[in-house]
Amino acid sequence: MTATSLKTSSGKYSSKRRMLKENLTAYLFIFPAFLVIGVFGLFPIGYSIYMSLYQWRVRQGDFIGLKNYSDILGDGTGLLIFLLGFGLLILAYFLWNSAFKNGSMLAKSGKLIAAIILISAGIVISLGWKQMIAGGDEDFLNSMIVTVFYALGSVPLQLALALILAYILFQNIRGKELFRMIFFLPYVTPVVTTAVVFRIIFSPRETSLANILIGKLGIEPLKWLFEPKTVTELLFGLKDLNGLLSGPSLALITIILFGVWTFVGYNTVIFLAGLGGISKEIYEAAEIDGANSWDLFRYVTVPLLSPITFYLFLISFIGTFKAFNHIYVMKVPNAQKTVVTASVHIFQKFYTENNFSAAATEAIILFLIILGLTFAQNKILGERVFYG
Amino acid sequence: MASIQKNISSSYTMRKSKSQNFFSRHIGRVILYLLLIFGAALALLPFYWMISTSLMTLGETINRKWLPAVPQLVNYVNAWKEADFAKYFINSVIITFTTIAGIMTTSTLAGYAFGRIKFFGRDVLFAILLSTMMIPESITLLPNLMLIRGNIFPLPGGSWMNTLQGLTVPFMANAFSIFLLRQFFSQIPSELWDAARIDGSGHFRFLLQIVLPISKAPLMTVLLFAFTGSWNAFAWPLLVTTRNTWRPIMVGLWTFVSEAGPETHLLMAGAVISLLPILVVYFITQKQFTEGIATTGLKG
Amino acid sequence: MRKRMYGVLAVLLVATMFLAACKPAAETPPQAEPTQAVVEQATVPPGFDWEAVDPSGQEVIFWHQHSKERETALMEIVDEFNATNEYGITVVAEYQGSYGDIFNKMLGVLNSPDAPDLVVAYQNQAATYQLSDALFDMNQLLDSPKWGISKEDQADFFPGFFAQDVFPNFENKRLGFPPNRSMEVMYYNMDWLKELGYDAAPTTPDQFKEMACKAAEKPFSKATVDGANGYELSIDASRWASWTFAFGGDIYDYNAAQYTYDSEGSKQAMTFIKDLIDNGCAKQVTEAYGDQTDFGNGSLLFSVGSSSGLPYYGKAVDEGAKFEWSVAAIPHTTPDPVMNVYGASVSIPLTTPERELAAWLFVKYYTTPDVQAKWATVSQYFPVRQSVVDGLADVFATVPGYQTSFEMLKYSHFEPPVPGYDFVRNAVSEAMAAIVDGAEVDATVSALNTDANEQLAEQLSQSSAPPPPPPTPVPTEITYETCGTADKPCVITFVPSAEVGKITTAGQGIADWLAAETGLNYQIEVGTSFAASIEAMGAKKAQIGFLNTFSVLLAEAKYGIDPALATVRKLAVNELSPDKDLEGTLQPYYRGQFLTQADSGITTIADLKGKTFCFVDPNSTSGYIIPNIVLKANGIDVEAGDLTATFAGSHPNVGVAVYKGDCDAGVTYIDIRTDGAAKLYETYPDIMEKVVVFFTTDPIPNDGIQFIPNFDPALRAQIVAAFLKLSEDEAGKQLLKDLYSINGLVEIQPDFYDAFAKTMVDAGVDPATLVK
Repeated sequence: MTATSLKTSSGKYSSKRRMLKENLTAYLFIFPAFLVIGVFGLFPIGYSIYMSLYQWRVRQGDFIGLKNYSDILGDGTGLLIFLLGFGLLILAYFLWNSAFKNGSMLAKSGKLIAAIILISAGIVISLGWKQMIAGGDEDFLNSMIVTVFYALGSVPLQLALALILAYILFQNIRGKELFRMIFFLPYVTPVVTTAVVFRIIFSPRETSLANILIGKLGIEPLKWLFEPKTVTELLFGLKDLNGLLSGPSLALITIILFGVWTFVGYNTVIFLAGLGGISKEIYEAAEIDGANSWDLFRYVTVPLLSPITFYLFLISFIGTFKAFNHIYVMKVPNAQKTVVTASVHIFQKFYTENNFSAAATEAIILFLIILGLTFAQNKILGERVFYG
Repeated sequence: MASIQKNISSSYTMRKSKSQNFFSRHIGRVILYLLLIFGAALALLPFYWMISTSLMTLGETINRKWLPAVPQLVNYVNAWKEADFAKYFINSVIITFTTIAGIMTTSTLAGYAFGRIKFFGRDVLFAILLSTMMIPESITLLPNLMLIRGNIFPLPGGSWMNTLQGLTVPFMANAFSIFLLRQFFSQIPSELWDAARIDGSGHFRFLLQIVLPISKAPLMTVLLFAFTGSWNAFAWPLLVTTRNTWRPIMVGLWTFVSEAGPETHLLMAGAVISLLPILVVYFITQKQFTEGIATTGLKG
Repeated sequence: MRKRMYGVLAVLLVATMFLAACKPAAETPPQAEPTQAVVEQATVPPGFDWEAVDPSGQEVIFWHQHSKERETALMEIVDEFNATNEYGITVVAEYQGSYGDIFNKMLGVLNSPDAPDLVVAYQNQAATYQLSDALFDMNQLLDSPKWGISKEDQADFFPGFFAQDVFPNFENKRLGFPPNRSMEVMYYNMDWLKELGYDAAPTTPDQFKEMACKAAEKPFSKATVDGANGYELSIDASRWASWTFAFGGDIYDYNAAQYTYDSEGSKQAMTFIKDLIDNGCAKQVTEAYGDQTDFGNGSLLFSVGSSSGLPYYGKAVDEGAKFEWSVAAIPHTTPDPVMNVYGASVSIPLTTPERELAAWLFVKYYTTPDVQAKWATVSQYFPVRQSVVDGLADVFATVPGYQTSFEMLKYSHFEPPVPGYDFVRNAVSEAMAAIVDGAEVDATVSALNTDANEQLAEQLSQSSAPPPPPPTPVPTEITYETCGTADKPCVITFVPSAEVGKITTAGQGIADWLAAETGLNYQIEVGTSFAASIEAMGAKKAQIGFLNTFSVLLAEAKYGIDPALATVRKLAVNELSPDKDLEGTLQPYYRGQFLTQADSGITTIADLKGKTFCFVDPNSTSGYIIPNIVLKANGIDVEAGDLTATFAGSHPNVGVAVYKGDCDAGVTYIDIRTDGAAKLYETYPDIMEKVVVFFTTDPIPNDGIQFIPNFDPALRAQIVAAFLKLSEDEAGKQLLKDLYSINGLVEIQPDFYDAFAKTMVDAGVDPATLVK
């Protein structure tokens, strides 16, 4: 880490003067970026907070304090119960972790307690959620669930595929430049055009490419983008599940495929850049030590790529949580609300309902959720990043 | 099937023992290529469709043909003319290059500071930086439009509507690029910095002379995405331009999607034209680091 | 480092919460203050002297969405205006992306110096802009002697189009002006219909279904692709509206200011569509413009969509399966088609009086007949003025279906111009998709209607100009007017337009018949005058009225009386009638005709100046009142002596007078020359050759049956049903005939008399003067 590098060279200057100089240099370095970001990145956040405290529909109306928030989240008790559930979840996580570190006797009971807390956290969370739905904006809260499905469906798939692809394309492969470009194409093509093609491929017609393909596997034609039924209903005939348990609709899964297809190329390019940064000597040294391909991948590539993986994970996570374009262009009325993610909902509040304050409030809530989850990921994953 | 799998796994074991069986190694390769070709076909399908449609007559698109009988190259000429690409092309080039210059400067400096210098408030500032990525664009458009119009505080030169700075300045720094470069810069072995320090080098010289040359891959990656983002941008340019003076090529492309029925063949021809510069930039940037950086003197 | 990150994020989180919780005036960064540079001269005070404003030298920035040929044509119109207008006004037309792009951009510049002077906007978009009082009320200039549009020219606009930009939610301000319109029509493949054994397009839903189902089984011989479909439904709120109109319903009640997506019409329309799909006769469109493509390649028999697609459908057929095709009204259960007409208007954002006026002068120019003809020819939209028809020969000749649909414009009806309609459109699409996918119709439409009305209420909740209270109170709190008990019988009032004894006998017969049918009590009264009948209803002494046309107009204006039924008679037509195909059918209206001798040289109304002219008598609607309005609209003032007027006393007399040349021209109902009662053709066998029609008036609505406002809807429905049954019953028919020579009754929409009322108002005729 950087800290070590600083320590080794101390002594030449008085540490105070050196600190001051380092600080000044750093501020100078970040100044241009923060000038731009401070104005065009932070101002909209401040302004959204401001809008969220008013009644504001095209024109600014009365100051109404936190009413917009309570309209969406309910009176607050639901939210408190919900957050309490999350607190329990975190507690369970810590117990579980410490149970591993401790001796075997404690470990068992620690795990047991953690498991109990975990279950009760689940119950508390669902209680709080029900209360929020009852008192708040059901549509928006449901859109949060859709968002979670979208993120959970997209991020792991997208990153895993990209990592594999980048690893293969980094090998000595004939025509790898061509392959690299081909896999990058989906990302750079205007969404207007790729959406048209995807709609034709996943058309509910029996003769669509997707239906022909699954037909070969003996599956009945599906309605794809036009199917609001959830996977649990389609696969197991479970009709009465709701919320998180029901799983995403087939329409949403189709959109996830579209998103993954598009963004694999983006992730691959960054992974490739990361792979390019790993020196060959390390591989050579490992091979001399008798490592096979899998060992090389597992014990050299993966750890050395971890800063990049961490980056991509956070970026993809934030990106999917506020994903808009790919969903909006693929959204058909038949999918009903099952593909309305939080940012689509916010867009509609703003541009079709023209309820600026409600849209701003939802945006701030989404902002806080992403912020909280990013922090949690940083906490959990950040520790596993290896910066060399 | 089973035998193939066996072959794959055996190819790896062979490798381990360093006495590779030539034959089974080849089978593994073949499978690898087959997988790659399958994936490539999946990625290419829309482009096949896009290019073949761009070469069709209107009649062929209506009769749902899969291939044009006679490739209609004239579609490209028509698209070029109808969308006034010639007029917008130069705008796009200027806007994109100005933006890229800004992004490269700001994110290199900031990425270096966050990745390699320990300073007071670093983590707070980094968290704030990340937080700017977390608000949906549909909400930020309006406040940013107010900023550009000089409603919030006076801007140098008055309102930035219909100006180059209005189109470029807001995008001259972003958290993605800074974050990415920070990740790469913080991986650079500290021995390099120690050596430079002993030579009397400061941060700026170290950045210019050592860090940048060995960071071609991340820099080219940032450049590529900055180019793609700026070139494909549509919503913002349309919002802050009311006249043609500074409109980019994507606005021209948009006019093909008309109210009563799109001329799909022309739309696709236009899309192909607008895609070409990105592919050129892709080739140029990727050439810079396809081989990795093993020999660029990391031994330090 | 990670530890610090943790703390930092927590601090940031708390800080944000803190910001959110505090009173913003003090806590938000000062730059967040949103006060915008509002243009100084926002609204002019009432009574502002527009005549004194000088628009010279103004620049008018015009934001539009037209591209390609339409943009080129618009540029030519603008250049022409810039070169010829006497004030040196310069219009700069700027393409700003699609309707949606323009809307988004407008939201950011409302009431700011960056706003344009003129902008293309749909009615609901204009309504949204007006939520922040951002638009100019063009009524201020419309009637200005110096800058406005003359009454005659105003009457030249299609009345429906002209009224569409007046916003009931905003104090009836005129926030837009129409330069063009489109209409939802049914496209059909004539060759395929013939193969299926039909020789004409369907006019009723039942025929439509029969043909569509047959087509699904018997593909078109010339199709260039496999597959066959009767109809492809594109999920869209305008399709919903069109089909609802066709089934006699509406999606909005203008009196109550409420959506009516749960109306019977909507339910029937959706049930009909669902049934088509369930039976495999129709499918849903799954790709953008998929119906247009399939129509072109011959795999789709019917398609419903905007007439602005005409040129594209034409191209698709020419490049596709190449067959004979056309457009027709959407098959309907109503007596006349009810066509869904829409289109973006242009709105003037508030700027300075000079710029507002300059923008208005361009709008005025844009809607002059010559410019309209040019614009319609290139854009292939419909023009908004009736006189433009002469300039449309080119389009009529080159675009198939254009003329047919143009002639259906008189049946226009509209989607409501309310803020938030975009949101409602999304909800409608989802409901429509749900129904197609199998949801139950009744439950879905009523949920949709609740959503739509909640949204409407919310939209208006922050409006600075609160909506005027609807004339009727909110339905849930209403106590309705009822009648029919022994204590309070339903009183029916009859106007004394014939011998009172005869009316009393027939009227009592009707009351007895109704009593037997409905089990209610009735009482009749014959007014001592027409006005007495109206006043009886105004005072709620009578609940049901048999008022004549002018009395209805007056009672509607004065007391908000609710017309429920109209009388019908067999429609007669002449060579100029636009509704020739309806000849002999029972219609709730008729028309007047202007006659002259074949060789008189008179071909237009204007030619009548200085001629001798025969009216019927001063009380005749088609023989004096309406013709008088027509003459006035064409610059001929009868009272001022612009022509020599005589009263021939009866319709046949006028016919004879013209035949004999006693009058240069005259006016009668259609068609006195062939009328079976007058039998003029027996005495004058060559009357058809010698006497020709040179002008046919707009439809004149018949008299009918009305209810007082706020009448119990259930009771009303029961009584209306009884009347309809009466008109089918042999004995009932005789009673009606005895009463006022009525041939039959039909149910009508509340706006049945509106167009006619507007014509009267525009002509400056007060119905009160016509009620004896």
